[in-house]
Amino acid sequence: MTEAHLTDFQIGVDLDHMLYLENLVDDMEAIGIDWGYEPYSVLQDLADGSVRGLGWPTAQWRLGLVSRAFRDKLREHCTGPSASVYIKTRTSEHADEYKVFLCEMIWPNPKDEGHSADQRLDLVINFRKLILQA
Amino acid sequence: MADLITDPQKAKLRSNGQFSLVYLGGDIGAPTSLFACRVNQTFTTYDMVAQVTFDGVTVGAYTDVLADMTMLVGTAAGLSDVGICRVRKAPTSAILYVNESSEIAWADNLYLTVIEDFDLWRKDLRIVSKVAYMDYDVAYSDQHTNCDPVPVFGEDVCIFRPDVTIDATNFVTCAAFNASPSWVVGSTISARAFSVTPSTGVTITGGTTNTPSIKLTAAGKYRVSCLLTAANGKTFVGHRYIYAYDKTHMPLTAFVLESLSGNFDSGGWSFQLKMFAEAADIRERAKVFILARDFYAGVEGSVGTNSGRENMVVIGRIAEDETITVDPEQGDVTFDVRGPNYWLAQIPCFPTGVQNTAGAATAWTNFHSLTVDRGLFHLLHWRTTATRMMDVTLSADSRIPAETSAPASNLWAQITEMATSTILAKPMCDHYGALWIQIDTQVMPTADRSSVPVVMTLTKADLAKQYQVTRHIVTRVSQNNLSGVIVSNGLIGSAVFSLANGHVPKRYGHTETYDRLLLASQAQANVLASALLEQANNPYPSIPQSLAANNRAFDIAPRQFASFELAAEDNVRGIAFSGHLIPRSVTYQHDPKTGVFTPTVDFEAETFPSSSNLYVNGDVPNQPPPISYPALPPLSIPQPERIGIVPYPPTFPISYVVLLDETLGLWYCADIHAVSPQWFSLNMGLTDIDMAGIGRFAVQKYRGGLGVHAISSSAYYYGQIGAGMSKKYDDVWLTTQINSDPQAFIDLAVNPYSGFVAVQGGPDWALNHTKYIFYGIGGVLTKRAAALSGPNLAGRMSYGSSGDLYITFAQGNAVVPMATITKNNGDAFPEGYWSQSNHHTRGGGTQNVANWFPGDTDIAYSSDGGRTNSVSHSCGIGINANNGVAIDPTGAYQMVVGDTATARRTSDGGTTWGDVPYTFVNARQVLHVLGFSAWLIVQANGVVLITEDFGDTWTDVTGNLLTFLPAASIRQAEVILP
Repeated sequence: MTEAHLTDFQIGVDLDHMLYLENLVDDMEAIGIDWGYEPYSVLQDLADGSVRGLGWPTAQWRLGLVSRAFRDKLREHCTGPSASVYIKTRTSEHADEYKVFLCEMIWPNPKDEGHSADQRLDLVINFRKLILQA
Repeated sequence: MADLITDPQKAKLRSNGQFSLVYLGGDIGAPTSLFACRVNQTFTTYDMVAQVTFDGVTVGAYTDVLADMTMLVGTAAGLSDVGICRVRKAPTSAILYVNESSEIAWADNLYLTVIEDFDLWRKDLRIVSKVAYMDYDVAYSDQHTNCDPVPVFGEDVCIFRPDVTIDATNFVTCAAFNASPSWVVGSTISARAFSVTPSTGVTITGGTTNTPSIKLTAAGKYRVSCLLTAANGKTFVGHRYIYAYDKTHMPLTAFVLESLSGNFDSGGWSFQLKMFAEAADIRERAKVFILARDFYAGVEGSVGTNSGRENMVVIGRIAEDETITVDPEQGDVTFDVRGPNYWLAQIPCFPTGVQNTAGAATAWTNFHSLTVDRGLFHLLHWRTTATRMMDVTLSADSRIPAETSAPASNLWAQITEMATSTILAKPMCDHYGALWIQIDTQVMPTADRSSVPVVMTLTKADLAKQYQVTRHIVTRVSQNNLSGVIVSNGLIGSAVFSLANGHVPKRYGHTETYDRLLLASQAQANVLASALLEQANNPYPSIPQSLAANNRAFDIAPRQFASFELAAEDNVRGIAFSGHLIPRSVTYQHDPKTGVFTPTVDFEAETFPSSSNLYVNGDVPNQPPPISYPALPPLSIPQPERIGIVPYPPTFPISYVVLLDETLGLWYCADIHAVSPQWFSLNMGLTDIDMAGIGRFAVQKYRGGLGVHAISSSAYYYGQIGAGMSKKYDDVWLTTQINSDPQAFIDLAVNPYSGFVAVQGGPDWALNHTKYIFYGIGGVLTKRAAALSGPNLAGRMSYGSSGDLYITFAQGNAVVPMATITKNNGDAFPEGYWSQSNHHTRGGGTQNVANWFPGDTDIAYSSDGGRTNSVSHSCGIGINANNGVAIDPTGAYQMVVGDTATARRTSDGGTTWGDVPYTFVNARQVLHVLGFSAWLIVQANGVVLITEDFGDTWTDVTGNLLTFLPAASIRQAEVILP
């Protein structure tokens, strides 16, 4: 996981209506986001000694401390266990590279959400089935 | 020859970032109604209904209805709760013509819905006044001389545009259909015309060429029809479908693909789906398919060898077995989906056959210049709907048989019988649902194998790190003894024998025999013997490879190779291999959590006939073949009026004759009207003691299933014609069912209409001891609750109309009656009657019964199922103890055999008797009535005779029976009628 600025990440139910995370709620304070991106789900050993990456790319957003309002806005994009969404997320540690994907957003199990008054701790959103958008 | 998978495709298969999204498409939800109306007639019988008068059209027009479409019959619009049938030809403005059937309870005002679907169906033969008609009313004219063309233009296509709504701007184009593989027996294709229904928004370019381009401007299901015209003037149309999905018309995603595999042995593909709430949209027997969106290096695009169908993973129809998890919160259902091979194997059928004729064909039963392919064309085109709705590709083999015939009991078995037992061709269905009947690569001449394509050369970069190779180092077959017949154009046959590898077997292994093959020459037979031997001793019969890619290029059909090299340094045994592999099974795993979709392919290494001449001409037997070596097929043309599929005399068609020999058990014949009927053992699964112990058996006489039930005193057996028998219950089980006394199976009867069996069990050594009926189907018996009324010593049972189960006993007294009649299959309303005999014979499933004592001369006739009997009359001879009396369904005609050369007959219900004008071989005879005027006698010497004029003339139908039963002593004969 690598930390980046929240302002660079986007989410939406279609390509034309994607929102920066910082704009999900008013008066959003500047916070960091731990992000992850794996281009493959599985690494397969081959008979020639090499390794092939199989499976779809996955991504993860880890938000250490967010307001309840922010959490609820994010939840609107995924009211069930999972939902199909578009995201813009960072894909490289070494370059300031962001890509837009259609993907399946996986909401964490409620018991895994940390609570603190009107805040939520350590909210981890997983994304899988990432399909790169042109 | 270059690999079918191109270098750019290989680069994709060897890329990172491979995953697949799978979808379920096809006929999901309510079927597309093409025409809907209601029945407009009453019915006096449901039996053999072949047309329906209709009115009240609510959807479409009758002119929209095409031959071989599926029609639902229901109690409300769109339902099929009453039945499903096939439209057998174009309707008129008032009549729908359907496949002849007896399974639909037709009624006025039922709802009829013709749906957009062509399924696999059997087409039945009908005999009217000795004339055969195909599919109810198609008379023979020139169909075997000027044959219909057979459309082969590719299977169904799926187009999926998840990113847009398909419209005039975002249109899609399908160029996947190609009619160039179409064929016609004895002629050429002169024209083809493609059409698409519905046609709104559809543009066809090149519609009269083999490769049309079809532009669609809306999502939906489209019927693509290919009308072929042959140079002989005949036309025939085939139908396939395009399923077009888009952003607003999505295929289903809420399912789990639990398994998916194709297998050489089964001949096709199957898959299992776990579904949830959407399962309610799945219709029984609906066509469904798995569709994939494939990504390589994160870029969408499928890889395959069938252009335009690369995204189609597999097609099948929902099979009958569902596993339903009942849970209000997490309920699911698992569906089995099967390819055409499975469905063809589920369709029962009558024996079929065509004979070679030197001149022009004159009937449905003969074909000029017959080949196995031509026989298969007759079967698949005229006896099934296969050529209408699926691609059919035949062997292209030119060997000449005297006949092609198949007594087998289902369509797949018939295809296999005709193709495999003659030229070693095997039917296979690929994952698109196309049928290929091809000679296996391993027995092809080496020189011809250059036509077999290499799908892909597999390198280490294509394989998972670790795989296993099974290496056989001890031969399993020591000698191959092959024989068959060469038939020349003049229809003169000559027998050929080959031995591989010579007269002295190899050091290890058993001897294999291939006989009755159709051969081209002695040299070809020798090479074939060697090829079969080498395949049997293949050192690498199984090389399962886990391909590390989303690679769906391999299939079990058509014939294909993979090229492969195994380096000595890559395994601890130092084994090297370089050559071709043949895919024998393909299994896919799709991980719904990662999208990884990879196959495991089980390959067999290619083998070759010996190049060192390790084969010789076989030895011609100088004496009749031993019992284990059935006779070769007839080598000359039989009398034309006695050949093939048309029963002779055709007044009373017979599906099977089954005999019980006192020592060698059960035998059956599926072609009793052939010139030389062939008899087959039903004893597979039985021991010698079992065979000799069977005392009685029973079959379903009318509209017969294939089930055969048999008992000895200590066991109940069940099996099916063509599949053998097995012991289901023994006397220990029987004792636990009744009480602690030793118990025995006493007699049995099969309901001639339903096929359910009733087995009488109890102590047959004791008077007044309780007996019970055990009742069931398919070899499973359940004890009925009620004990039999007035049980007595062992007797006979039979089913009559109104559910009567009539039981006569061997002994009675002043208290215990000698007969009883029960209903509810032995569980209710027992009635005691004072029968005058312990044996009886029933006229079919009627209430006409002849009561008699073995050895006695008296017969008492009953027309009410045994409740009241006529005064006994003497038939004039002592009645044979086994099946000595036969009575026709009217009750008026009866025939008796005894232990003499004379049989007796009556035509007035038994009042007066006279001699049958024929001298039989005496000592023991068995008699069975076939119909109103047809009767069968097995003489003491095992010769089987049939009369169809009440005994005036008799025809010998023994065929090859005595080859197997040289000391035949037949105890019982039964027939199964169509």
